[in-house]
Amino acid sequence: MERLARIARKLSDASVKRYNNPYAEFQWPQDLPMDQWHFAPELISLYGLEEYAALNEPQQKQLAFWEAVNFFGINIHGEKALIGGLAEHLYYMNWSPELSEYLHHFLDEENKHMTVFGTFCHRYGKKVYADKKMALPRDYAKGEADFLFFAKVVIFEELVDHYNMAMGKDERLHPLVQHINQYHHNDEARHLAFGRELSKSLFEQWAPTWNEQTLAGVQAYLSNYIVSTWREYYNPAVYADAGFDNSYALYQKAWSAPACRAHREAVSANCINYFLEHGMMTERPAL
Amino acid sequence: MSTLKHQVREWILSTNPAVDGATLTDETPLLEQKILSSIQLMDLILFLEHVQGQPVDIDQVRPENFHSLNTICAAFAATPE
Ligand SMILES: [Fe+2]
Ligand SMILES: [Fe+2]
Repeated sequence: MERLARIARKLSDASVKRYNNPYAEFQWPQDLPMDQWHFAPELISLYGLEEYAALNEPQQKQLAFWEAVNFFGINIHGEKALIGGLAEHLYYMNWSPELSEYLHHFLDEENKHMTVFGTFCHRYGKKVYADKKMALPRDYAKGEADFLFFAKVVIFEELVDHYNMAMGKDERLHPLVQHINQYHHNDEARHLAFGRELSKSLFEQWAPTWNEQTLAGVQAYLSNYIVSTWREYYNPAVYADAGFDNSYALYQKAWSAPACRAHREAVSANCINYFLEHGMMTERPAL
Repeated sequence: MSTLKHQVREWILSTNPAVDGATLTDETPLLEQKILSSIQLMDLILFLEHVQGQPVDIDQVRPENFHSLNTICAAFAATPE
């Protein structure tokens, strides 16, 4: 935990230095020009399908806009759960004060992200797509719930950050969308550094006390979490809003298309490799 | 059997070939017996929206409503069956 405390202190310093005010930082135009891109075409969930290729450019841009609303909605729902879990871990048991100090920044930054994503969704999409993920009740061994929470944070943030990094510097995109992605990435780089260290340290602390059944449960739980996180990137409501009348069939097709699976594998590779490397996962989940 | 219940039943059997149709009743505890996983629940919600042509009431998306075929239909049928 000493190494962790040192890292947390550094990250807190960085958060103070880069303290930001999204209310001043973002200007929100009344409307968005629909002849521009609001999501990178290659990251659209239907990219690689013939149905996507058959769209003309204005239709692709319309789909891209709704994909942006979905992506920002995924962020909102993930961050909402994140904030709850972070709050629970403030001043937690015998954790060092440095950890609480950084968790305050983490929580503060997530709350601000949510306001940015929420403003975009409400102002331009007039909605936030519903969250259809559900946590099923389950028992935990000692230390298991803490580990799983921070491991999930890493998974969720790694996937999101891949998109943020790609779109933060994508000159094809509307400047507001670039800005939101870049803004989020700037904070997420710190969150990821912290989440990776903390989940590893919790695993090293507790895994030796877990039996085989618990370890197998951890593997299954994390695999399920990655898959269900990815599921949200394929949203039939998006396809319906973009004008497709076969949105459910399209959702099924996209999910099982080899090109889309290859995309999920490529985007998840970093994060899965990290878990495998440190024994937090024992096998690559089927995506 | 109501139409929705029949559709959900067929969906469960086609998604989980290991499940024996002869023993799957309206009261079979789907989560307890691990017939439905958390990922399949997300799928099932989208299926319910698809066959009924309208979004589910998101307030009803709670584990207890996925207990059995009966509870699923009671919670999610768009029109009383
Ligand atoms: Fe965030
Ligand atoms: Fe974050």
